Order: sequence, then structure tokens, then C-alpha cells
Amino acid sequence: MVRTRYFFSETFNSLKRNFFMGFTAITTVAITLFIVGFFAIIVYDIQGIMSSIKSQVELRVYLKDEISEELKEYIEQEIISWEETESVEYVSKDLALERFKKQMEGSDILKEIEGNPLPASFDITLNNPEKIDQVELRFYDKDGNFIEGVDDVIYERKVVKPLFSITAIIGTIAFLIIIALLLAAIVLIFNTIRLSIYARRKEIEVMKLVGATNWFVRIPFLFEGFFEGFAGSIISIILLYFIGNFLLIKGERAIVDIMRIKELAIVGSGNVMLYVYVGVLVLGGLIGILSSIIALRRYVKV
Amino acid sequence: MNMIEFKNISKIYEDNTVALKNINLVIRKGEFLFLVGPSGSGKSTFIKLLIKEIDESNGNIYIAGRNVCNLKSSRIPQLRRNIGCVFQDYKLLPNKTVFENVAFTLEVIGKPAYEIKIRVPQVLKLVGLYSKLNSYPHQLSAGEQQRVSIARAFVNRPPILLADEPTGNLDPGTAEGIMKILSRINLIGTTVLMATHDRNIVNSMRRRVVELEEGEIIRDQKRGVYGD
Repeated sequence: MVRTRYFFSETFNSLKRNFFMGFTAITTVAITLFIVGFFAIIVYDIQGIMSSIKSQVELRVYLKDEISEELKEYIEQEIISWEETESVEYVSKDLALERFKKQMEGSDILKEIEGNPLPASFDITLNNPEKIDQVELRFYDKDGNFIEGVDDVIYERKVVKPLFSITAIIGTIAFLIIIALLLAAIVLIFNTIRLSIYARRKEIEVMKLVGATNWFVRIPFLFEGFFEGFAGSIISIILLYFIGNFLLIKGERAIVDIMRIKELAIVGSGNVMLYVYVGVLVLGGLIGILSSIIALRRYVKV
Repeated sequence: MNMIEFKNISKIYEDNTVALKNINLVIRKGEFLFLVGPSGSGKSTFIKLLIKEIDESNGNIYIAGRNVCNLKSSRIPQLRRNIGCVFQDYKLLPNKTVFENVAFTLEVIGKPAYEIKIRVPQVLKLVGLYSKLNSYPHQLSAGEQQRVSIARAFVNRPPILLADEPTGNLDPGTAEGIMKILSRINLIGTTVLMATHDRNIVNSMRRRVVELEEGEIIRDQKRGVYGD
């Protein structure tokens, strides 16, 4: 086909003519999408870490030794009936001691223990750990004392609370940076297209004069914009593959070590990376086409 | 057959200048017509209306019997393929050779390569530039450049050829050569409409002359002269 060849050669010539502008646009797209991809993985990662932390968040309700069997059963039923409750486990005094012994195996502390000083408890796992405060309050009466039969309520308040706000902050910052970068990429491609429209204004004038259709005039510019977006996304994928993978795996190891989380293999699971690659590719192409459409609407009137 | 018909055409620009006032004119197929008048008399507006570069304020224009005033914008390219245009400043593409400049018209409207290879040399022979096939516009004289532009306008064999001051930048001898080519194109059956204020050319050709003044037709004369 004459036309296909024509479009490709026009696109190629135009890219050659505006090499530096095109190069800048492609680089910007590459950097932008790299950061987009990087943040996407980080956010995904943090979510993964969060959910594994969340699933470990539990509320432990220590019971008084002298609690009656009836009251104990009543409290258990009550806990089960709450919608925030994922599961509840009764740990008797004996079981608590057994677990403690296992945990402390070989330690001198065991020799010091006489009898069983450990209280029985209900270990509650919540389906929405953000409601932990609410649930805790139910174990207090209106004077601020524990309800009958309950000795204490504990959970890892210090870890949980800040984590929620940190995720929210990171998410917001990442989102804002991504939006700003996407806009920058769009503006840059828009500019290269505008320049190539300007460089070819005489040709466009002649084209319209001899009866070229609108699409015939537009397609080379759409190709050009698409190519710039696409090339940028390919570069960002290569960057993500090498740098991203390396950094993220290291960072993740560190987080896992610090937080002492056992089950985590986010970056290792190839699917997530694949989704990010495909997303970046689609985004790159869209940015390119979108920018050229905006430029064409403004500068090529029929 | 009426090739071009203006019925009560008026054009008032956004700044309220009246370019054309109630123009009625019939141009028959195969006619050669000079549109004369001083600058600002409405000649360019006349030509721009024909190729739908601008829209009329009032009235109707018929081309080959079809009313083009309510033409959808997607149909405008089709209209322009039937009207060749030649301008005072040639509008050649400097980075393309003579052959490529002429072939561009055909490429743009999607003609196949073999047709381009046959038609371009043909039309270049018609304008006498076959030997300069591979030259670039800057290597040509002004007259030669105008001939390339005529070749480009005519390569698609449009039934109408519009020329807006085609000899405006040329010396009398060169202008005469251009007129010979336009006459030849007219002889093949093409309707030619040429806007000019070149007195000598109009007087030597003795064709139909339509004179515009301040947007109105003040004279329409067969085998006319430029006037006083």
C-alpha cells in the first residue's frame, strides 16, 4: 500500500527532523513511566505488607483467674457476635503456659516459674483492624474500668496506628507526583507534535489545497505521538526490569527484616511486574496519542 | 453546462468589511475567464469561496450543478480534488524535487504508485519541464517554479483550474509562457478562472473579462480588455 508506506516514511522523517525534541519527549515519558511503575509496585508492596501486618493484628483480652465459667462463655458469645470479629480463640491458663514454655525453650526463666502465673485469654483477630479502638472500648464500663472478669486488654498499638497513616501519606504523595509527571510528559509530547506541525505547515497547506482528507493529514502526527509515548514506555520497562527489580527486592527484604513479617513475596511473584509492564505500555501509548490529538485540534484546522 | 454558478453571493468578514455584494455569475464549462479589478475588490474572496476556504455570508454557489454551500466538512476534500489551484507564491515544497512536488497531489488523494509514475511525467511534458524532473524548487527560475505549481494543480485533471495572480511575480516574457500553458489546459476542456491585474495579459488574450470593484461586478464582457 502506498498510503501505509507514506505514513511510515512521514513519521520517520518527522522524528528525524525533530530529533532532539523527540528525544526529550521520549526521555520524559521514560522517566515518568518508570516512576509511575516504581510507585505502583511500592504501593502494591506496601499494601501487601500492610495486609499481612493487619492479619497479624490481634486483640488479647486477659481474663481474671476467678472468672466463672458462665461469664467466660457469655463474653465469648458476645465477641463472636460482633461484626468486626474475624475469629476468636480461647487460650486457657494451661495452653498459655505450654505456649510460653515452647517460646522460651532453653531459657533460664522457666526455672523461676512456679505453678502457673499466666492468665487465660481470648485472642481476637479483627477483619478490619482500623476499628481496633472501637472494639477495645467494649471491654470497659462507663467509669473507665474493665468489665467484670476482664483483667487487661492489649494489642500492638504502637505499630498499628502510625502504619495506617504512613500508607495514606505515601499513597497521596505518590499520586500527586505521578499526576505532575504525567502532565509534564503530555506537555512535552504536545510540544514536539506542535513543532512538527509547524515544520510541516506548508505541506499541510498544500495537502488541504489538493484535497487530502483530514485523517490523511492527521495520521502521521498521531503515529509520531504514539511512537514517542511507546518508545518511552519501552525504555521505562527496561529500567524497571533492572533497577526497579534490584532496588525493590533489597528494600523489601529490609522491610521484612525490620517488621519481622514472615510470608511475603510480592516482587518475586512475576504477575505483579507483568501487570505493571503492560500498564506502563498502555499508558505510554495513550499519553502519546492523547497529546497529539490535543495538538492537532489546536493547530490543524480544516 | 454551467460549471460554476454564483447566486446572490455576499461575503461580509467578521470585522464587517464587505468583500462581495450580491454577486450573480455563470461560468460555463470550458470557459476561460479573467477576474480583474484593483486590490481589495474581492478577487481573492471569490476564489476562497470556491474552494471553501471560507464560507459565504449569503447566497448559493453551484459547482457542476451541485450546491456546495451546505457541504459537510468531510466532503470538502472531494470538492478540492476537482479544483486545481495556482497561486502567486507557487506554494512548492522546498525539500521535494519537481517530480515529488507534483506526485504529492496524487499521493495525498491515494492514487497508486504506477499511476503516479505515468501521470507525473505526462503533465511535466505539458508544462515543458520534463528535463527538470529531479531538480529542487530553489534550482529553478521563477517561471519554472510557477510551471511546476501548474503541473501540480493539473496532474489530477480537475475540471476547474483557479489561478490567483499566477503571473504576479513574473516578467512579461515569462508571464506569456505561463499564459500559453493555461491556454493549452483550457483547450483540453478545462474551465479556467484567473484573477489578475496584469493589463497586458488580459488585453492580449481577448477572453471573457469580469471586473470587480468594491465587491460588485461592474463589467462582464466577452473577448474583453482590461478596461481603463
